[in-house]
Amino acid sequence: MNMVQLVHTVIAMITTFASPHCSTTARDSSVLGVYVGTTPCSGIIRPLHKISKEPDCRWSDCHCAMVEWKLTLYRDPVTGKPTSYKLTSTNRFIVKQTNMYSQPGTKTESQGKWTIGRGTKTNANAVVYQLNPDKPEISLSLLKLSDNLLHVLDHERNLMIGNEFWSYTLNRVAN
Amino acid sequence: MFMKNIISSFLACFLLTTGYAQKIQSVNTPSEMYKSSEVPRSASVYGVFAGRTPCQEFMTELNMGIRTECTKRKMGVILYQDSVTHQPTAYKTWGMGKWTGQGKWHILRGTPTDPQAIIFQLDLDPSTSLFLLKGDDNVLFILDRNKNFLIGNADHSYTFNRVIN
Repeated sequence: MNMVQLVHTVIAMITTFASPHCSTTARDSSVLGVYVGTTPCSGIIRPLHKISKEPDCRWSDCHCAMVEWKLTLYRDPVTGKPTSYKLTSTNRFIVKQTNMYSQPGTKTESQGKWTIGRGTKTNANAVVYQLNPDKPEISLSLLKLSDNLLHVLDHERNLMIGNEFWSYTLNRVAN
Repeated sequence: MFMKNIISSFLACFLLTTGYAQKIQSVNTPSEMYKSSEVPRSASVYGVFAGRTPCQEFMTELNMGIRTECTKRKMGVILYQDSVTHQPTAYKTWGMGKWTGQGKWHILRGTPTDPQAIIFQLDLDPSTSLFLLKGDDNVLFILDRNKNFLIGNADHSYTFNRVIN
């Protein structure tokens, strides 16, 4: 390596470690992933989103028809083990006078612990993320389909069944 | 944000003309399809699955060309079976553009990450297949041509849900 190459190498190293991208990467090592999705507003997911219960209702009559999720899962940057989660969501109903979804919707935010376990009703080896394992009343389980997809489970660890409009799959968008 | 509001508003209008039969339920069971007459019920029907998915990846995977204005697809499939042996027989799709129609389907095993995964292969033509991973009896996930999951977005996922009438 001649002198010119050495200088270029040093400059490249300085540029890399000083760049916003590098600092972002370091900061984001505590984030396992950010997952988003839009799901029906079934009774099973309501406690986690702080949405009031209501009897089974026709879509157009419900106080909550759908929920938009943004779930951030945090981990220990050294061990990689689960630490906390942050969930922000917006739920909407259908405004009868205008036939549109309510705007800006009702926003909620929650946070808590999450853990990694195993087993759904049909697959004992499936990886399952559990939000709020220490609080059964607001606990919710998510099947890890892949690094990029999670799917909400019911209390018996069956896959939640969506409808022809919305599903219970969350998609990774960052990290 | 403005575009999202427009899309949400348009969708709401559509839902109100088609989705009145839909229910928000406290239990985890298949929902009614808005056009229940389109959902056949007999021993020769394995199931009817429907969903609303993003568009671009689906069109790319199934060689459907490029339509940048396409943001979502409303589609589904009826899977038929032999009423005695329960072996797969035919399928009928809707909402899949040039691949809307009928054909044969088969059951395979294995994806690149799960050799035990159950895959439904729909033969669209001699060289094109649609792969659906069986999540369980009620939920199917659309895969790419290499049998990897397709990733959706904040509005829609590549998921089919069983519907009933």
